[in-house]
Amino acid sequence: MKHLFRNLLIVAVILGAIGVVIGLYLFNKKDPNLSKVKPDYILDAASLIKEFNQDENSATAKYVDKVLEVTGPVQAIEQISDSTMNITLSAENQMAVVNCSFNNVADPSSQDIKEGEIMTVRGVCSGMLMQDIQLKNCVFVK
Amino acid sequence: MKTIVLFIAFILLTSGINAQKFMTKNGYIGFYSHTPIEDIKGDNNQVASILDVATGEIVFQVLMKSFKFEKALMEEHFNENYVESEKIPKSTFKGKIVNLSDINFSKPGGYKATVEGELSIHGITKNISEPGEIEITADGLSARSKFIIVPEDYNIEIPGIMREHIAKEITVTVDVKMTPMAK
Repeated sequence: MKHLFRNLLIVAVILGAIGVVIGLYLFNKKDPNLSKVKPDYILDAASLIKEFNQDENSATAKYVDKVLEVTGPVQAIEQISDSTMNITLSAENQMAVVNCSFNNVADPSSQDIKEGEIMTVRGVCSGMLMQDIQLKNCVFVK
Repeated sequence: MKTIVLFIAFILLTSGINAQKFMTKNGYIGFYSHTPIEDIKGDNNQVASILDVATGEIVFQVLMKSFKFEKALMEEHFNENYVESEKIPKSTFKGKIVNLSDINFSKPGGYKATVEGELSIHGITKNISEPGEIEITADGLSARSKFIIVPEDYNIEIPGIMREHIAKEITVTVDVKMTPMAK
């Protein structure tokens, strides 16, 4: 009986410690680095734009908060700060673009991206704003 | 005849200037909450904004889910518990520069601007009037402002357990660089 109580106490202490560690881990968790995350969808910029503009609600339900890997020609590159930049991917005959936001890019200029170049970007979809589709936490896919 | 030609030229010229709009898709809006317990900062670099120079009308739109935080849990709480991004994905501001005549959009330099209009967050719309700055540059303009909002004004409920973690007044920073809109 005495041993049972002692063993239970040890188990409780261990479980408690695990709980605290997991709690601290979750509390301090940073945004995921997507370079090693498997995408939920792989598609081109044109199809993504088309799907959102045809039916925003169903595309929102399907893609928002999901990891997308999107390919398309680079329309514009906007350096925002030393570590943040936005790249827009365009689609033929479309005004709308896919706006990809990169944070924590060590040295964006070293990426040497050119307008018109075909590029693949992985990011989390946050939805559609004024016809454009927004991705965040983006990384380049080689 | 000459007068008519001049008149038409004048109309064409002024309507050309009148049609001038500036825009960005990569503007910045951030907010900052400071308490003794923790500081919380959200950044959004994907703000869409359009300014009509002729009328002074200015519009901002953001996707709430495009705000980025230092910690993933902050982002989750923000979207799920506070602004309810699934239900209300966008925040908008529609307003006007009230002292439009003080700003010479063809002369580079810094100008003080007061913007008045309707700010919608979390489905609640409030009239606000805030000071800002407009800087005219060679290739466009920058607009900046800093003001305070109170979450409770927008029906954002903060549970008791979190009340000490989130400031009563949140500082909002706006910084957008706009370029002339292609016609």
